[in-house]
Amino acid sequence: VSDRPAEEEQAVRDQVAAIADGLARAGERIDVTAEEPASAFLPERVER
Amino acid sequence: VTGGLLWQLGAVEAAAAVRDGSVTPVDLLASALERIDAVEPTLRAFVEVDRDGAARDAAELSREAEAGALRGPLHGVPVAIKDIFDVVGLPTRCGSPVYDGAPPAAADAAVVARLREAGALIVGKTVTHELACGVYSAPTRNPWDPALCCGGSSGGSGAAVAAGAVAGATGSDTGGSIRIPSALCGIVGIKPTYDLLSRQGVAALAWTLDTVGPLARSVEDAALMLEAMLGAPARARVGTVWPIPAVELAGLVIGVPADGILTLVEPPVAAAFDAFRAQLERAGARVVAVSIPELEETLPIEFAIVMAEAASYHEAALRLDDPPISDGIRTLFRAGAVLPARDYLLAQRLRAGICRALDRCFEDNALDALCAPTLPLAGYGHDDTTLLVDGAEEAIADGTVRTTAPFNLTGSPVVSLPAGLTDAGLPVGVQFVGRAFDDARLVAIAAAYEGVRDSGALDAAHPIRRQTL
Repeated sequence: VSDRPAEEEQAVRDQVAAIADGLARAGERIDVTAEEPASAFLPERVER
Repeated sequence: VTGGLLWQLGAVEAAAAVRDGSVTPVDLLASALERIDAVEPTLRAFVEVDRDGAARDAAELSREAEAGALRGPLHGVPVAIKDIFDVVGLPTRCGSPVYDGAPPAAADAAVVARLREAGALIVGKTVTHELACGVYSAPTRNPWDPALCCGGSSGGSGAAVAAGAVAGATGSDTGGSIRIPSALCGIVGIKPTYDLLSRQGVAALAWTLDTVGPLARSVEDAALMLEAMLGAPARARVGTVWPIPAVELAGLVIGVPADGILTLVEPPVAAAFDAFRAQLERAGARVVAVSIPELEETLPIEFAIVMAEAASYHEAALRLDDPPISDGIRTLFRAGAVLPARDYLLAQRLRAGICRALDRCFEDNALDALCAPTLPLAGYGHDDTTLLVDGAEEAIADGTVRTTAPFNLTGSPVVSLPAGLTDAGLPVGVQFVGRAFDDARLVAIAAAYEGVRDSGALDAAHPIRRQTL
């Protein structure tokens, strides 16, 4: 990672930070206390 | 439609013509290739037209038809395959130099094999946005207006179907990639319930979101394609998609968004959606305004999941000294590679909250379907990067996914179809969203709307009616 151009490194850090901020804001509006990761709530799997 | 205009036939019509012996698959292929030759220099929808392979298959399908041995409901119908699906004998390039030199696929993707079993005649492979991660699909152009792009990531499929090069095509939808080109190209796209169709042999973008499905000119044609793509267990789970069961709009309860991200659209789209809503009411549906505030959180959740899963899928390419991936996508994937596990898991838990909120909305309002504009805008060029809604600028890459990705998060089945035209003559798509595994009924509801739609202007302006583009 360290030999990547500095601009790209910064863009990657900014992207991660933006997602973390967005998820934190979402977490204030959607209560996940009782929620398991979504795969458990997605439509039941079918043998395709 | 006769002779040189066979390419204008939809999938159901073309299959019926083969069945009654009035045309042969060889005739259909010849006409499709003639159309491709006429429009492809403008559209550039195909990565590869497999003339030799299609000619061999058409000859075989014609012999079978003559002997009365039809393979299935798509016997002889020309279709195209998005270039992230394996097609035996052809390389799968995913619109990316990462796959330069890819060998010919040794086998068909599962849904491609099912299309062949149903008699589909595979004509070629269509352009995808790089790695199925984007909404432009360069260099493909939009047959309604070649100055505009066709959307993405299944953009080549959308353009090829809208122009009449093929009667149907496959696409994949992780954040809107079937519905976006369908809306921009004035055709029908179905994103079935998550996991209903096999993804075996299809390159991934994000496993827990990726959904494959058909693009075609009408709901009936798309339903026929979907029926052919279903495996037996999936068909047993959802019932018969085609022939489409009869449904009356009268008495149905249709939700429309009262506020929020599904309502932030440009004025021409808002006007077309208002007219669509009025049409539903005239047909006797009860239209109720609903609010689902949790959907406002869609974008960070969608992007967190896509970037983390895509980073894992493309790990080998990302480890190269100079990965041959465009800057924006590479940054997204590299961010996914270092996204903390807690954030990925938080995204999946928030997603579960969104699933629950949508379920509650259907339950509380006794909805048969939820409807919304498919996209906030009716067209954009390859060089356009932003749209303007209510005075606020938004990246097209965000804005297009904002209205479609909520239903990737929920895994809901969705049918996008054109509802009308803007004053500038561009199609406007609406999406019908259903409950998980209610695909057959949702398709029937969309078909019922298509049956009462005021289609005159839409049909007259459709590129399928034009000899040249």
